[in-house]
Amino acid sequence: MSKKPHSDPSDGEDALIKDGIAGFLNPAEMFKLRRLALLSRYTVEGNLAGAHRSPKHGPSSEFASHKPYGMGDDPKHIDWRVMARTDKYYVKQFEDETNLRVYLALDRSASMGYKSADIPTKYEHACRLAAAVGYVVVKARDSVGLFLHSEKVDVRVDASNSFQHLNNLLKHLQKSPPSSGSGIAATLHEIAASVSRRALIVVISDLLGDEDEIALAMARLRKQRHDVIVFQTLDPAEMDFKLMKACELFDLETGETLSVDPSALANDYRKAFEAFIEKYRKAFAGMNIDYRVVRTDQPLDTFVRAYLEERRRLSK
Amino acid sequence: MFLAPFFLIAAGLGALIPLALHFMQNKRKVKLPFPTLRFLKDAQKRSSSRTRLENILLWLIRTFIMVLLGVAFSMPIIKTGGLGWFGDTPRDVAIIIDASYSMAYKNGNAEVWDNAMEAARNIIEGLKEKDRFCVFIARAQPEALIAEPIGNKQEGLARLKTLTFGAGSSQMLPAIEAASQALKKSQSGYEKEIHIITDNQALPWQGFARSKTADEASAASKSVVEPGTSVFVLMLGVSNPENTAPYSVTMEPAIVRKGSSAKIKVTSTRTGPPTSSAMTLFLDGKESGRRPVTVPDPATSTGEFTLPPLGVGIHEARIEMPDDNLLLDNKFYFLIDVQERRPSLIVGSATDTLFVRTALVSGFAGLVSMEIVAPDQLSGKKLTDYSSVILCNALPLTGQAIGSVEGYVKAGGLLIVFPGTKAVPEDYKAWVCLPGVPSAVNLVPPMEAKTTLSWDKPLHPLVRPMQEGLGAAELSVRRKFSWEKINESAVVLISMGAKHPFLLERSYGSGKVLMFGISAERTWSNFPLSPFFLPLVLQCTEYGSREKEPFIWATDSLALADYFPDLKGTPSMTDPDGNAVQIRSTADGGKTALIAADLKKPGIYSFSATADSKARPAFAVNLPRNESDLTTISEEEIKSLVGIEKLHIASDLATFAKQTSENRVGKTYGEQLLWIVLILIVIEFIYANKLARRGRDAVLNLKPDSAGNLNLSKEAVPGT
Repeated sequence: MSKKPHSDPSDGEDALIKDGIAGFLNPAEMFKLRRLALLSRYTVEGNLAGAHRSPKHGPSSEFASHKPYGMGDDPKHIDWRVMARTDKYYVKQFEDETNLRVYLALDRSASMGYKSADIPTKYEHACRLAAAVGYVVVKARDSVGLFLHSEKVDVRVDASNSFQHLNNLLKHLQKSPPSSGSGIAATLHEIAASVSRRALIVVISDLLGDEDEIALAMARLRKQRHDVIVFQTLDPAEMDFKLMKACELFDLETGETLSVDPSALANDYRKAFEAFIEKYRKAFAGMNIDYRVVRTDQPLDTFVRAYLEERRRLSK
Repeated sequence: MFLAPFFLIAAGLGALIPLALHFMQNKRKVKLPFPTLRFLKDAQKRSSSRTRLENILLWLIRTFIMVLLGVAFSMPIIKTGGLGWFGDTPRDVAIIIDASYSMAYKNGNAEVWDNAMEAARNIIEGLKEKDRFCVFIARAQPEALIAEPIGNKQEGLARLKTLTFGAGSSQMLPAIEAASQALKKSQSGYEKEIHIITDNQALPWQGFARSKTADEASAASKSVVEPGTSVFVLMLGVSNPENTAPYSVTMEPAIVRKGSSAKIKVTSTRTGPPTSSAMTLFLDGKESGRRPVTVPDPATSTGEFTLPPLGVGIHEARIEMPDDNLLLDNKFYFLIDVQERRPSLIVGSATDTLFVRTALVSGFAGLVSMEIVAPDQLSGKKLTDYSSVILCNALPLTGQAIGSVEGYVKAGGLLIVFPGTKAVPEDYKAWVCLPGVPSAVNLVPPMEAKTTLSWDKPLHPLVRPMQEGLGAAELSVRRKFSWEKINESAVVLISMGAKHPFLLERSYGSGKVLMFGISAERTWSNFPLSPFFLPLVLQCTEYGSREKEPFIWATDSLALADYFPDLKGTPSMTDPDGNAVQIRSTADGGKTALIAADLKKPGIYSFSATADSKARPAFAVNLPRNESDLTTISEEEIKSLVGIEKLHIASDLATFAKQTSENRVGKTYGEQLLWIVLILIVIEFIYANKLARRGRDAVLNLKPDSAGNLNLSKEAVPGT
């Protein structure tokens, strides 16, 4: 990789990057992310040779198992030591290494359009997060795909490992602002049904749906041996509920209104919200799903960097 | 009752303000988007009842504040006494004015009395149409200026103008009793008030001091003042009065003889811090001497003057001290009666008077003249020419003679009675002035003849010299009286043996009577031959030569016969200003007695026995000096002393008017309500702030780290 990817416009790769994800990440952020890698904690099924473990046997140097010699097997793989001991022919099998397919499941429900003060909306922040993850994935020659959904999957982009692909993928995000309605659980089921081979599913959503149904959908993804990462994107006002004056709030998804006195409700609201978060935390921990809460007032590059380094550390 | 009821409307409207603001606030609420309302609904379910309660409480506090604010500005009045919340209840007011001469104390340019009169006028003028009033003057005995409540203010003011302060002291207790009695006649529905106008002197309140404890005072006051009667005291005197006054005058010796010198001792009294002053003696209008004197407080001090030789006659004298705020008691008047030594009149036969005559001749070495008359010649004598009349076995006497002698004693003469064998007990009963009446003359058995004299009153001026240097007084008695009765006012000066009276003394009128229990002759005892006889007779005659009191205290009336026993015809008297003093005659036990009225002006009064005779100084009249003690009494002391339930005390007219007004109209509680409003505002501010801060200051438990990991505390999640 070039040492100055963002400083030389003549560089073709950098030019592509700028054209594709310039709307989400600035060069400084991309520079910070360039050496990071998103590793899967489990075996994945790719279509190219790569750095990730595959469930198939392949030409790698890592021994996997023995199998009786059969028709078509290359005699050079016969394990002569085993034959000397057992007088039978066994062939050595080696693990295959493949590339990683990452699917970004991005929520564009109406609630993702919320923002307080001068910070990005949850959707904008989620898009930038998706762009950062996508950039890291493509940079590592892995493939990235997209499921953009609201009540259903609105946009599906298959996984590919080119920056051109990433650029096109992100353009879909730009074209699709938050819409009304939310159906996270249903869309996750839809994703589970459509992605049959083991992959890394990155769910970026505020998860403001039915906790149990969402957990069930997540469990299905895990059952299909997908590695799942959940980034729950939340606004600080949503978490802290530090509104000053009495006001009338309307639900971004249902349009319902409610007059509230924030000072009177703040404590109970926080308790309810914390219970909600805790429920996800427990459920996802039980399913070995990597669950993180992302505040929209948090610097994105810092978060991505901290998260990926922690994940790399834990994967060793 | 409200002074500004208009504000009650404001209070009503104000009560609606918090509610109106609440609704307006609801209308003006900002509409904001929010990702989801599900958590808010959960929170509302949990806190709705509590929040509603808090909101209701806040609303109540705010409404209460607004209502109280309006009510406070409407100046509510809660009447402190009596009935008639909304109407003008008529009232009967008894005004008591302290007329003691301490009211003449100068407070600035005016006397306390002037201020008292102004206050009394204000009270009367301030009465409403249906109100009535009566006026009592507090003196030693209360006087009714207007005895029963009247409504005619003009009449009351006119009578008030005639009022002057008196020459004596005052007592509040009888005055309040009199006022309370007058108010008892009030019609039902009338409020009763007693207004007392006085100075700060403690003296008028001494009558209440009989009650030792507060409970006793309260019980006593209830008997004096009818329950429900409000008593207001206006104390117009100064809080730290100063006064110096000559208090009394004594002369040594008591008898001033022509050509002899005498000393005058003047006692002065002081109220206030110690000070240096001076006393000046004036004799017959001319300054005779001046003495510096330091008068401490509260003790008295004494100044001494030596009289120059004076001629025979009555001399006018006065002691003056420098002017102070109370002028009336700065002068002390008295008379000095300089006499030739007067003879004694001995009544009796030559035999009966032998020992007395011998004693007087040898005792005074011929200096004392005497005259001896037979009992039947006594009625022709002018007894006032004699210093004493000695009856030696002279009874029985004629009624005229007895009357003459008793009149002489009443006017200040001295009668010495030696009994004898001529009289029987019945003869003594015709006398009024004798100290005792004998029942019989008893013969004493020889075995019991010896008896010892005992001094029953050893400090008596007559007896005291007898005890010195004469040894044991023993007598041999053959006869003695047995006493039928001893007069209550008589004093046994010397006894024979244990309790048998030997010498009795009785004051009668201005004079004295000395009566012996045995005769002045040898047939009764060896007393005439004893060493006690001569000095005792001499002491008795000298004792009778006492002067009359050099002054009298101011009085309403004085019986002239007590001072001028030989008064005949129509006398005339003039006061110190030369105005005629009213002399009226009254019947006293069948006799006509002349009474001089209203001797209240201090100074020298002149007297003429007849219209033609030359006037001569008769009395030196002084104001009683107890009023010179201006020791003050505090409001608290009055309250504890008097124990009247509704007692209000003020020290100035404005406060007095306010108190009476508040009692009548009521007291406004606007200020107190404003204070409550202020407290409520503070409470509301703190409470509302606490509720508002509760949301802001709540501890955040949801804290994702930089990698998005949650650090959730256990308490944060219910059930964890």
